[in-house]
Amino acid sequence: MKLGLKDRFSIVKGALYLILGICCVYLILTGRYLNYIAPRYELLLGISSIALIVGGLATIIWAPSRYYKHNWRSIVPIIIPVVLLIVPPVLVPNTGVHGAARVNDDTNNFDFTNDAIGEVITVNSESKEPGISKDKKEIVLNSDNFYQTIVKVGSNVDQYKDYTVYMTGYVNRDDNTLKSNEFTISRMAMSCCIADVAPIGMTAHKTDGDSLANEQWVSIEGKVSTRDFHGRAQPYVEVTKIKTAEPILGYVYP
Amino acid sequence: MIPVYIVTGFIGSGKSTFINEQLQYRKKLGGTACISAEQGSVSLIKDALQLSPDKLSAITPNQPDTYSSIADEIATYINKTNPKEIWIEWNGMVSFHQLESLLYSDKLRHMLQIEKVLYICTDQFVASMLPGLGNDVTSQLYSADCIITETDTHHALLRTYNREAKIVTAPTPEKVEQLCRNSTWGLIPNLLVIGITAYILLVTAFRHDIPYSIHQCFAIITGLIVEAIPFLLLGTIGSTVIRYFVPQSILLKLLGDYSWKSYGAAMVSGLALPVCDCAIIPLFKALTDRGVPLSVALLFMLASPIINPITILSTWYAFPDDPMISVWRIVLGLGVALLVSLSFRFYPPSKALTKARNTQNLSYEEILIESSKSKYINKKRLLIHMEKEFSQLLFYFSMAAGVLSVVQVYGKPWLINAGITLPIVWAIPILLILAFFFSICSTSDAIIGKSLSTLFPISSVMGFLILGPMLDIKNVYILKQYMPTSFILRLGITIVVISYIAALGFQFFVG
Repeated sequence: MKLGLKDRFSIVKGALYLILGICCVYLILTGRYLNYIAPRYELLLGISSIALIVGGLATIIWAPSRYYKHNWRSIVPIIIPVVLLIVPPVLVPNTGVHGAARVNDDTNNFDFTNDAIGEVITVNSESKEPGISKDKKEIVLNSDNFYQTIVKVGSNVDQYKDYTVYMTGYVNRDDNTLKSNEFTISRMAMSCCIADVAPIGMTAHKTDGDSLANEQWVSIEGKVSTRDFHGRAQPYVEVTKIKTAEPILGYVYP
Repeated sequence: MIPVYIVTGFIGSGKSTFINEQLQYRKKLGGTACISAEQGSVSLIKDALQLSPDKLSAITPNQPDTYSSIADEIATYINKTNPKEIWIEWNGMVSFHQLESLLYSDKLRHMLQIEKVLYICTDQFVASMLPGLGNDVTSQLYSADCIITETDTHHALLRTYNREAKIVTAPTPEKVEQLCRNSTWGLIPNLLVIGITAYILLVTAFRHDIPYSIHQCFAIITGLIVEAIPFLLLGTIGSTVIRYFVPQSILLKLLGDYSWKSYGAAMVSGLALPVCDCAIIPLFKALTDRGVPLSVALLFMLASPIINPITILSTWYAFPDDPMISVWRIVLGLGVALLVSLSFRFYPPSKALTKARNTQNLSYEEILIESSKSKYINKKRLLIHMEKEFSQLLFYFSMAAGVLSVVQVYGKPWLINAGITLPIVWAIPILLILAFFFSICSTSDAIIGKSLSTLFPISSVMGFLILGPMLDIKNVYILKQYMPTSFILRLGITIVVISYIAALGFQFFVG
């Protein structure tokens, strides 16, 4: 059938599906989908975007001959995500700790030659092997293992007592029950999508910890000890070394 | 372009009289041409081009050779009379799409422009004949801009055939002339243009002037939709498969009666469906449409998200130090689902409560496909069905996402700052309410439950974990597409009460 005889509204609708599919492909290719959803959805989103593109093309190719009345209601739900994805809102505030796609990833630099806060040390960088090492009694957290390691340590605190922990995060004072020299070293975790983003971290203590500003990014070295929290043993990091760190713009995922 | 006014309606409803009144009132008889496809008792005061209804019925919309001779006839007539406007009296029994293919044909679409479609009906016709007349008539009603009735007795019924049209009772010729002049550009396109413009301005030109929380709301809506698209697609495909490809005999053999076998099958089939709860609801609808008893389909809908392998894994993962939580979640969840569905088995809701809403809300494409009478399931039909279901699901999901984002951005911080320490009797209902608002995805709410477990006693968290997959704001919105509000209300209350009792029981016997 000639294009002029086809229903224009169906063609518009098909084009919208096509655009939505292309938007999803773009999100995956640029890694920006990580702003919205956890990485485990990548494959599902990829398959869906192909389905949307195929569906959109089929809607255009199989468009019926022209109709008089257009059901505007039916394209509203497709326009909403298309507009939201093409003109996205600001995802990262100017300040603060919310993540974006991993613009600068963690450097995994835990060299504390200069223990003073306020100075970022880049020389003599000593990279640590991420993960839990039973031989060295070391726990090194990075973006990839942050969530799992904290859950693991949290559920077997006694096993990891006196391990040395290296981690980078921001100083979080949301927990009102903590003393002024206590804080949580946190990262923003996304378990499913941006709607459930919440901080996750380890409670830490430093003698002069009250001098640390809220939401300041730090790298620390500390010893895992425990504290009693409502009858349950909870990991509690005694900070031995600390330095400021570059903010890591990215979420951690379970 | 010559404006075209189409008057349609069943024979004897007064189309000719109506056109005659209009033409006399307008006093532009000289510049008006009439085309008639009806052979009624009253004749038009203006000599009309008479089209044979038999020939019109033979039009096949996608095949130009079936209507090109009629189009030629009309074109010649127009060239001869050279009118300023054209009134068409369309036959009440011929599909509107046949007129569309004629007027949008190569010959005519550059000459004519449909200005208004008016449907005229008598009360007696609406009450006694309309429901039985089939899709050719429905297609006319659906396409009308304006429906003209004798009295306002049947407006509600007419509304189910056409949600947008103006329904007018016995208008004067003057009023009709006004109606014909009003713009057809409806409310939704206007709102769309305003909404999109406002949104784009907000997030571009004024993005630094508005609080970050507004951006956050939009980001959350986007995130929820991006996350849901795969599951909604899966749900649509699944329900289409159940609807068109799974033989009814197999479905009914598995789930068709009230035996323990049906209930058992409904309960465990979720194991094979590792999808989010928003994908399950369309399946529920497809099952009931295929004749599966309501209570069995309900059990399937409620149990599947709980017994879903991903849900079980994520619960296991969220509560690593207490694996019994996962076991109790499954046991209690299935128990609640079974009790709720049994309550619908032994106290069935009245017929009106379960009557599906969308029997008459067919889209135009579906009306046309139904009227083509081919029983053969072709690919276009599947595509149209899936597209419609997907866009409707996405529509309701987007509304739920909007509400959720506001609750998430503004409600949650307030709730956490309130610093609640409550007796168990209150903690459970509070977490049940939280589950309604925050249990976004059954596959991940265990993680939310985990973070709540530091603030609330474990039995109330159990209530959260049981209720969340079965009932949350998003499910209600999606279910609203299929079922009447009163049904959802009863379902919701039953689930809440039984979950509450289950969580209390958990507190006394386990926690």
